Amino acid sequence: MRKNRSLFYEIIYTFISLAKGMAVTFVNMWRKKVTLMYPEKRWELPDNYRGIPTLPTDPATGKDKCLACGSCARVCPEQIITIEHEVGEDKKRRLKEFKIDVSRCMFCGLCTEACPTKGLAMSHHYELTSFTKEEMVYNLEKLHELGGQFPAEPEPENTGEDSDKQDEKAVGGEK
Amino acid sequence: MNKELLLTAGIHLLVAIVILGFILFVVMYMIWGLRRIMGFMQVRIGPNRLGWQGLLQTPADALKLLQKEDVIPKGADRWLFTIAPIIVFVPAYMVYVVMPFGDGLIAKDLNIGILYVSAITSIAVIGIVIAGWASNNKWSLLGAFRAAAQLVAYEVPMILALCVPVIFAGSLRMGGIIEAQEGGWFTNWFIFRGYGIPALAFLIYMAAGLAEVNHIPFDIMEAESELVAGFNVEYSGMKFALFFLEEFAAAFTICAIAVTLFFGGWHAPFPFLGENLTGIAKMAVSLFWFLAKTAVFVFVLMWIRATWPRVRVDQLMNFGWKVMIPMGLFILLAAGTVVTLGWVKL
Repeated sequence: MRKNRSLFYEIIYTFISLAKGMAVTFVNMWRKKVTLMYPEKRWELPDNYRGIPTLPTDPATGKDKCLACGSCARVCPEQIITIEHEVGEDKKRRLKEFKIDVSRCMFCGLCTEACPTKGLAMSHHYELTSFTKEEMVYNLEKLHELGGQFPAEPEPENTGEDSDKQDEKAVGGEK
Repeated sequence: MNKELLLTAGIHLLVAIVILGFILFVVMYMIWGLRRIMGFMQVRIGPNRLGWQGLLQTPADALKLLQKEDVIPKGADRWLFTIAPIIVFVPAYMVYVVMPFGDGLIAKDLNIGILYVSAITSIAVIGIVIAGWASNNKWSLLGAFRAAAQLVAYEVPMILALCVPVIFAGSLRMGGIIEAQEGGWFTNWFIFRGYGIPALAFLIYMAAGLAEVNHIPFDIMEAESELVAGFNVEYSGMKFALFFLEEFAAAFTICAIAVTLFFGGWHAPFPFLGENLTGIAKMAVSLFWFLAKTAVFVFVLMWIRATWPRVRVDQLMNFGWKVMIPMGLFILLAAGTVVTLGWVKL
């Protein structure tokens, strides 16, 4: 408002602005609502969305790509990844158990970057609540289940992203 | 003789129960409507889970309030604290005695109808002051002071505005005022007659009415951002529900009285929309028109609530004393002049 306006101008201006405000709310009433009906409808997650890291399996072999090298466990800032391995008859390291304490994960994604085979990938799984602290520690079976599958013809560069899409379907089907 | 007396008492009791049920029903769905409409205006959805479109949300909330612990704070005046919600609610209920819901659908067409309405509705503020005082809480007390100051500032222009349709109709009776707007066409409603004087009176009435029922631009007595919740800070459970009920019942009353005095009451806007019926059909159609018109005003109230900011206390008082009362006196004088000189066809 400029100075030196008369009282009548201000009174009229007040009523005009009140009417303008009413018009704004009335127009907004017909707009598309921003609220999402959450459990029924879901967000469209971007491909590089960071859910918890999981171990997708290869559809050809039915196994994950983990070498049990332990890079992820070493690089993890929270030190929440535990890997147990065993050495088979052919003298190769095989993964025995893979645990992630999700309750302390900060979704930085360093573990997936450190993974030499890109077998560990950030999924689209974000519903992590549970009733007990123990349930928050995800074991190998759970990580396989949440990870879903790699696409049939894996390309080394973008397996992570593709597996994410697979994950979403797997998670959706699970519900 | 004794039997007749008993029958009359029974009928009156039945009417009272029907009206109470009507208030409860209307208030429940006003609250639901408020939440939905405000949600829509804020680009949200609002309650839509419980029942079709969330219609059962408010009954569920009411049941929840019934189960809540009834907290009476330490240091509160127990007796006053308990009767305050009743003092607030009962007048809001009693107004419905003269509410003309439709042709013949009026509990008691008192010959002082309008006077009764304005007298009864101002009792509620005594309950609010009692509630603020008895809570032993500074926010409550400030809210109560504001309520008292607001009532004094707004009761006068409201009654001055109410006088205009009374002068035009020549009757204080609700039925008489509605009869004066008869004729079938909406042009017979007071709002479209008398050189715009009733229209001005209507604006003053609505502004004062909003202040009377603590509605948004004038809800300084429960201003959340300043006084937490004003006079009802300490109330919980069913007592709080009674305050809530009163607030919405009073808002409905304001709209219904505005419809009755300025918008032809239960008359249809066009003669072919049910003016020529008789008996039960006429009753039903007139009830429909009354409720439809009132619903429009209730919507406007919610619209205002979703839009306008709250005025400051000094702004409210200035507006009340320096603008509303002179304008009220002016329109009263104008209406009197116009009617006395016979410039309007009555």
